[in-house]
Amino acid sequence: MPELPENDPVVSKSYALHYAVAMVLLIASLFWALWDEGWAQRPWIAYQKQWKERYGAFLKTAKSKSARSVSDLEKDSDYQKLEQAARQADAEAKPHRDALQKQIIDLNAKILAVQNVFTDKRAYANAITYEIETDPSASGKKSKQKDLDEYKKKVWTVEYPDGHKEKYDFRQLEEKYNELKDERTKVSAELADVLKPVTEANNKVTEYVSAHLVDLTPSQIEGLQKKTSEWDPTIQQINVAEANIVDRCESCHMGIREPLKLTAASMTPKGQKRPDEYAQAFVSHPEPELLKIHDPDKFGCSPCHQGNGRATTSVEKGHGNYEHWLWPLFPKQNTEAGCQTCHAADMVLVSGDVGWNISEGKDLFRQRGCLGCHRYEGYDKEPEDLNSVGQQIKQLETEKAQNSKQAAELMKQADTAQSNEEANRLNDKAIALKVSNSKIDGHIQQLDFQSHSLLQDVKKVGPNLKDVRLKLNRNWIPVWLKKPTDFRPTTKMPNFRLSDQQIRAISAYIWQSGFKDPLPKQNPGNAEHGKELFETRGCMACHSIGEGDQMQGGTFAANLTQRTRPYCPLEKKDIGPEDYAKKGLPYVFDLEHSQCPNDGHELQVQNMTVMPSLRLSVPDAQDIATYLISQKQQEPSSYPDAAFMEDPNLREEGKKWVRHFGCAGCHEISGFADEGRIGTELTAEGSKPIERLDFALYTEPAQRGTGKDPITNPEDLQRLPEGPSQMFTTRARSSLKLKSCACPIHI
Amino acid sequence: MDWRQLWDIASAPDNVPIVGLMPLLAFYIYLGWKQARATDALIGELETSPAMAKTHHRKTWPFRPGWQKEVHVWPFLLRIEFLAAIIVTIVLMIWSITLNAPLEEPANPNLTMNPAKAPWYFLGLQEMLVYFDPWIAGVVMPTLIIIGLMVIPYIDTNPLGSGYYTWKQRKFAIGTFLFGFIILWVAMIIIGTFIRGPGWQWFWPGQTWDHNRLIYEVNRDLPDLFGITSNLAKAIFGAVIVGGYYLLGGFILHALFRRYNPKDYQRMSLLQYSIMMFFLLTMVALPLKMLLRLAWHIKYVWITPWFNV
Repeated sequence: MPELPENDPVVSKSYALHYAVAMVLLIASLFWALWDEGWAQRPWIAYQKQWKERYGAFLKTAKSKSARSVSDLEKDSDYQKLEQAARQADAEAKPHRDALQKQIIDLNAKILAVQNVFTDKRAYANAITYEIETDPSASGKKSKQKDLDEYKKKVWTVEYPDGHKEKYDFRQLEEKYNELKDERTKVSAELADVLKPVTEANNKVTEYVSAHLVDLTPSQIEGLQKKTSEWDPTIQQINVAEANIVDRCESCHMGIREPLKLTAASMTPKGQKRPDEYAQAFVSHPEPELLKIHDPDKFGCSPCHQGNGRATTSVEKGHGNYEHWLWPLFPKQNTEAGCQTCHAADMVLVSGDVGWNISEGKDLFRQRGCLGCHRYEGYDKEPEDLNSVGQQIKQLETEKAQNSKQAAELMKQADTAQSNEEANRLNDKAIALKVSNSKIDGHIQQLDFQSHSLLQDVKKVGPNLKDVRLKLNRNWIPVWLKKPTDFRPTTKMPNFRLSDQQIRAISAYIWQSGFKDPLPKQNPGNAEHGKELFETRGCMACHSIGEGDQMQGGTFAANLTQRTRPYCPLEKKDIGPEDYAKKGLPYVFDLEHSQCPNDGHELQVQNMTVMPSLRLSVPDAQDIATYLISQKQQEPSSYPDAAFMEDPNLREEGKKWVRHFGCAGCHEISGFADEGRIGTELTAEGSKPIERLDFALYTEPAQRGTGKDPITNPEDLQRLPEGPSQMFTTRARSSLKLKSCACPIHI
Repeated sequence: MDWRQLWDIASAPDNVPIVGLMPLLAFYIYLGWKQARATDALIGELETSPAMAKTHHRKTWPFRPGWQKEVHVWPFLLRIEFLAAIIVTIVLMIWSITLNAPLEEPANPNLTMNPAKAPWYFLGLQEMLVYFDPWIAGVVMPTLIIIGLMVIPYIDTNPLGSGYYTWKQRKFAIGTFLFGFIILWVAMIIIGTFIRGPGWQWFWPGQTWDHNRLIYEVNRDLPDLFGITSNLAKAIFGAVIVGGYYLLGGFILHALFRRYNPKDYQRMSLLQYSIMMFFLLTMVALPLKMLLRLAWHIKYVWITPWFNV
């Protein structure tokens, strides 16, 4: 049994100390909450306070600078003439103006005197009028009307400011009131006329000043100073309700739309060497012309810059640089990415200093052949359009065939019909089907026109590999595949880092799948004339000649010839002379002869390259060709013999590799007409936050990084698929107890 | 031992209340146990000495001449309660200043979180979904829990233990409740919060929550183990199993209850007794099902077209 205390603990225990401590804590937490609410959650208050100080100081210097330029301006003779004219106009108008103004003052006083009496009586009369109009009984109306008439006969006194009194009844009061007001209007109009030349002259002076002054005038700066000194901290918000844009960026970025140009240096207070975060926040928006076209009050800030416009509790939150905001502020070097939101279809997007990056990016994307492997919405639509046109043609043809079959059947039935009426009925049906068939024909013809022009617009990034046997030295192909940039440093083809076996297989497939048509023979031409033509016809805009520093001309080399065989996209095969012979047609194919002999639809009759036709005559072409051939640097015999390329056993393996590496994305290759692009679609690539990318078993290291918090636990490292590798920093390395761990790492 | 993973779970804004509640729960259990021990000691003394029983009215501290038998609520209770209110206010203020509401990215209906967990007060039920089908775990069991709690005053025939902490005088009631509350409800919540990770897989504390983890865990139904294939046979088999459980369990419980709680057994009517049996057996079914599932990968024992148990 524990010791019994003398006093009953329930009633005698003192809680005073507990209360004291609790009170202190409570008050402390209260003050903490108040401070947090007032300042910690509202950093923009500090920003706006700093703004007041710094912008105020800036305006002071700006004002004195402006005053100096104004005084310089005032020494100007033109200015002085205008100033003189203004003063003269003022002096001339002065006596008349003073007189008129005095008249108006008098009139005002008189009007006031009358008004005080009149408005009161009028109000009373109006109230009675209302009662008359709304009184349900006729007698009531009559009696009230009588009252009103009597009231209006009464006489009241008006005391004028000069002292004399006048007596008026209601009607006279009204007349006097209106009369005085009319007179005042007249006098005011007269005054305006008198002042017109004065205001005009003054306007000329201010116009002159603003036209000749680079910055703002001192009075304008004074206005800004007043606004700044009277500024009370408040959230600045742009609210565009229809677009659900709420941007509070200007609560900290106070200088965005200020009329003066602010730099970080000018916003740094004296004594500080480098601009702090306040100075950096207060800079002006670059390229004010841009803001004129994209009014921030209509566009907000976040559609172009991203970030979390609604956030005000910290810089990280406002800029969207925290875990759960998927659209962080674009880094400074990528700000132009925001233009893409609306201007995705523009090829060039420049305004003053802004837009060069993104325009160049779009150019590079187009020129460097990225589209060969990666789809991007809006670029290179022709293959997809062609696909859909082809599908439509197929559908319509099937429909036509069905209709024909049905029509034939119906006609057969009609021949064996019981009665004339039935025969006619069946025949009519058959005719209706034939009519719809001819309508379908019209539709198909339109689709053919569409595909005719689409086929001309389809462009592939690399040259046509069906022609390799006609254009290339067989032994050179493996050399090229080994490392394209060794042969041509400016090529768009990447180095696929192929193993030797892969090179052999791919070369074999490409060589064996190429056309074996005979090469058309050409006469040799005049190399000198060819050189002249090459340099003057515009070839060098895209093609270069010479090596290394002797290289001249463009780097956008493309392949150059007439297509060897036309390609039928519907049948998915190349059409040869035998197909033409079957239908008894000559083997001619060009833009005017573009119908497939087998199905009548459009053929691809050109090579899918971006090289334009330079309208060369055949002799000119021969001359140029002769000249170019004479430029060869290396004898073909210097390439190692590649007889393996004739080996049919390598063909299947080569085809597999060609599919694996996605060669058909950039090159036209036999058997790969419908190949898709091997790379991922890039249209929405920039929108993918890194957390959405699948790093599989590397997710943990990828999340924790190799920086502050690397994985050091040997067991965890063991989980990595390829064992622990170079996934940690030097600091982590030294902390690892390698002796106890059996991991085969080499540090 | 992945400490960072532990910290990630414990500091997630949704889990902070639970991490805070756990020591509180432990503390209050300890407090109750301490009080119960003191009271039981006093009861033991009072039972042996009739003289003491005359002077000792208060159950915790012995009564002394001059001390009041009853004390006023004001000020003696109220001052303690007011102090408690102030402390709660302080905790709330500090909590609201330091911890922000867990706002994540704008809701994306195409992207579900993994794991998608219910709020902590429902995690127990979500964990039960592993062992029972949604009808049983989400509707029947919660209803039975609530009805069971409501029914307690009507089947509790033990007159002792009102108004003071005791263990000796109410072993069965307190034991059953603690079993149902701490061992079943709270433990399930703890499992749901700290143990269940991506894919609702079992991750021991200190194991990294690897979203790419693959386990081989094939659950079978009890009828399948016995080779029963037709639906009718499965339904009958399940009914037999469940009925048999209640019967067998009922007999065992009956024997135990009669032996160790004879007084209660005398006092209870048949209706009260059967209600108690039913709820008790149903409650014990949960850990049994957990065992079946976790140890032998058996999912359902009774398959019908309308519900599974």
